[in-house]
Amino acid sequence: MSLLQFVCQSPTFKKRLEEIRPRLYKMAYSWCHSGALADDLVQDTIIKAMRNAASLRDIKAMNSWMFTILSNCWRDYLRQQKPTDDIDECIFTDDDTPELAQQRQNITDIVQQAIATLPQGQRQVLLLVDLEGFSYTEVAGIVNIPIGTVMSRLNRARTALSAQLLELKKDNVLTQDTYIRIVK
Amino acid sequence: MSNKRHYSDEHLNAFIDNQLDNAEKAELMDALRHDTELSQRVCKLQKLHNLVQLSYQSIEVPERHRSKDKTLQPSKFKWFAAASLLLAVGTLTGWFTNEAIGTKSLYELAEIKQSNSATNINKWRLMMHVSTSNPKRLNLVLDEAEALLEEYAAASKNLQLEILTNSDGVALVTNNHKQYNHRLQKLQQKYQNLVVMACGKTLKRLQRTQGKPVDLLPQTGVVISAINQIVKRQKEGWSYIRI
Repeated sequence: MSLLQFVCQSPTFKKRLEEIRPRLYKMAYSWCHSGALADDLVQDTIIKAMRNAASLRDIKAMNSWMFTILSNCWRDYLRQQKPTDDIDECIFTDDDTPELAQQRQNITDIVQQAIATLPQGQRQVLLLVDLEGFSYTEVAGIVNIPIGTVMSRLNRARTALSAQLLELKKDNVLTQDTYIRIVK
Repeated sequence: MSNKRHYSDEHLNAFIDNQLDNAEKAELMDALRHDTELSQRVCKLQKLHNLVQLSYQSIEVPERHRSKDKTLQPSKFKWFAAASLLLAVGTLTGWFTNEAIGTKSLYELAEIKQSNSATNINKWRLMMHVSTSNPKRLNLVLDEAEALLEEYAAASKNLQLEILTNSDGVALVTNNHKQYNHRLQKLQQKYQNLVVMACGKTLKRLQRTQGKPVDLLPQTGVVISAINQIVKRQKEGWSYIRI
């Protein structure tokens, strides 16, 4: 009896839903870099999770289950955006203005900007591993790609980030190892 | 030096991400002690890992959204109330749709019903419910859905269509009915506003009788039960048509 199921619906499920929400938001934000869109994605994810609560057999698997739903929502969003997507969008233009130059001094901005230049697939895998600490197997399940692809995307993402953050921009605060006092 | 093992970037990534087993980890740790270049590579990766973590550390969910979230958790009592409401609304809806089905198209019926509920003037939300495997009915669902979606897309009007299947109607979304599968999948690919759901209770029952999980089409959602879904949609102001 499904009504009975609703009545008995584990409070643990709702509690964990509450707990996981900020993490979902953080992940969604890191994928799309837009507060409003991240919020929409998380809302959709939670609605879908509540609607399909019965399909979650093991509450322990809830973590990766929720991120799988989020990943699907994100994919759906990207599909809807298809006509306006452009390969050029992946390349961040860097018009050097004094404002931007100043902004670049902020580590968070530097890293987020660099992450924004990564292709969607690489960005998604990198952030699932780095922010949430998911194992490669879990990421493969969440994004629905083979584990080998997870590893190669992760490697490409880190190589690209390394090139941007640690190697090329020698004037960048992140590479100024000898001037550690600035970071202090 | 010549017997120094070369470690791929993927291997070092796996080390940073704690994906290696103990033996592999130990081997690499040992190599790190003697190989400065290797240790620099690992440090660089670890630094990137830390930077990424750091850059999103301060992202917080905005407060206003948290309060919004509460509306997503209906109390159990509300569900009881909604269930009782379903008995009344469902009976009446079933009665009227059955009565009128011969004289009016589903499209017209949906329009009349939706205009009666003043809640969503700009957005049309319609649930089609099918619980029989009668090919005529199943084809009718697909025909009507296609016509509606086409018409709305052409007029750039906002429509949300949900096809809910339960009991024998699940045939529409199981993978062994090629005659419907192909058409339904094409519709789903073409229209983002079409959602197809199957009743979780029916699926469980079928799994019990068949002894194996039901093979659903890829984009089919599963709801706890059809009744719950109908109650929910009615509550949200959706139009409901049983075919």
